Amino acid sequence: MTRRDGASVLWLVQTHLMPTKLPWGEGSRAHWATKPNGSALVFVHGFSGSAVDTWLQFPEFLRQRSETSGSDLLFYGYDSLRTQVRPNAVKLVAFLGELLAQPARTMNSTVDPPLYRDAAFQYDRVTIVAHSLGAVVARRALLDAHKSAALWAPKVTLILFAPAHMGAHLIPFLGAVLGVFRFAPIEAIAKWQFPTLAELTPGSPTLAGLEKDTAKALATGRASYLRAKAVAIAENDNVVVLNDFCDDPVPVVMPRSHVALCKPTETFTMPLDFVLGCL
Amino acid sequence: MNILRQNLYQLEGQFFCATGARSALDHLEQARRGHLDLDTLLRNHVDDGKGITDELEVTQRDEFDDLLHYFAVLEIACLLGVVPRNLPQEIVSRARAVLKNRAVRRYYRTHYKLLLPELFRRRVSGSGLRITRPKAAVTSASLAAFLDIAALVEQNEDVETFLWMLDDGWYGDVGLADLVDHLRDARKLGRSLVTKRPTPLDRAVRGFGRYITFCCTLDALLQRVERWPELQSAFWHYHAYWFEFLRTKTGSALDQMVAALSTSSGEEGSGALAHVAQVRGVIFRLTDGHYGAALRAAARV
Repeated sequence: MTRRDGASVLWLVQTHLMPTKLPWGEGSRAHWATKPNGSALVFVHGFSGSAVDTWLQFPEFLRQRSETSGSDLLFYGYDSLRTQVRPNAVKLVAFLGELLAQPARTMNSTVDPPLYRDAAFQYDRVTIVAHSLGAVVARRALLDAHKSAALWAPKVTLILFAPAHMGAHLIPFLGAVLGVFRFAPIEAIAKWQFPTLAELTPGSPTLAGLEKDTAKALATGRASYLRAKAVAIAENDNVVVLNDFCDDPVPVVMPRSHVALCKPTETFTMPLDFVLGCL
Repeated sequence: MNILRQNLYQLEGQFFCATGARSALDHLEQARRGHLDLDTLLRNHVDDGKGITDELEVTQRDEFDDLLHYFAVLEIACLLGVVPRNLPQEIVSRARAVLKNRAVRRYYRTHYKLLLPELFRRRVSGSGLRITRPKAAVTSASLAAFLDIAALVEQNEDVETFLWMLDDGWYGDVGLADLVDHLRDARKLGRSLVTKRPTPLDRAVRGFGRYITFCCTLDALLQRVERWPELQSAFWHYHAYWFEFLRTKTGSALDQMVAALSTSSGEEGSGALAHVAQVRGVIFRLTDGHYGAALRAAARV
């Protein structure tokens, strides 16, 4: 069915299996397409987020859109509070490597035999959708892929929501992302130095290294996947530094906060349209 | 295999094969042979003055809880029409044997009043409830969201530690009062969130945060499906035991914990206070019981 706005919505069909645990990262979830078309979206949350509550209704909406009816929807989770960017990136690239090099085996490890996918199945394209700190982790993971000349890397596209590449302002950042704990005195909590917070200080070795390595990789002409296809920023974002990163495109501005801009609702479809428009 | 059978297969795998539910069937067989006293095992823990502390008993009771959760999720799936209307005879026979067992029935009807297993018992006895529901893609997407949200708190050590303390459980000499005290102290709070060697108290702090996240995401889903009140109610009933417990046994404990966090918010408090009010609203809606009414009315319970 086509809506008046031209969107194609599937009312009568279930296009994905029920969600399963994905045995990579922490709390990761997979919505496997029942009729896969060789594409996947991998969502990577930010600081203090999770595979479920960072993206809220994204899976519900994507399951009902014809544009993603054949796409595997993977929501990757990781320890963003207590583990630094580097080890998280290593784990993410390991997962991506497994997903793209052995896609049938990856899927089949999460379901029982009657639901197995054919061993010959391959992905043509994978879109990584990352939020905030997730953008830093995802980009570092792709740099690792570039470094190891991973054959699958050119299949990847990057879409970013409020990326923290250029750093974050500590107190507003914590206040925005700590969930229920943001009610507590933030300065006192900040003193406990979450490992990733030092890394998100503007100009930190982690971020400076990320920018330098990305620029160097892009200069080879063989790592175009390291340039984001699209970037969205929050209109009143006082959390992350909004300077441009490397060759990333001019961002789209969304009228929501740092945390809310990646959460589509029935009345705020911009994040969904933004992602679908990039596919 | 058509999609309805695929859904059933997946739910069977996730909620029966991959949990303690299968072991609960073994306990039933043991009871049938006279090797296990099911009436004692499935007694009401509140009536038991000493509480239930034996590790084996706790494990066995958890396995029965897994079995009842399995039937509960099957009932939701049947209500939504995402599994075959005629369930396989193996599942029907299994459900009849379990849900009609006297001790089990007393457990879910009298001691702990779980509606969904009761509805599934009626269903496998030929009196399945029918509800108004949205179109197929919406029902499957809603159920998918429900399952994702449930996964936030299922088999999570932090949440289990938190709920244990909430249920007046102790870890040595550390209990609920210590948790509330911890939440009032931002330095202790920060340490709990950061440490890589969490104590039970640290886990309870983290579990509290995760449980609140779960409450907010579940409440948001329930509000999204408000056009279908029986569906909304069925999703709520899956978690009803803890929401009823929070309302009747712990009173405002959860609310007090949220308030404890905000007692010294300082300059950044004005925005934080709005969020406190929002979270308190969520807790109130989930625990005041009104979400449960529509399915009870439809089931005439």
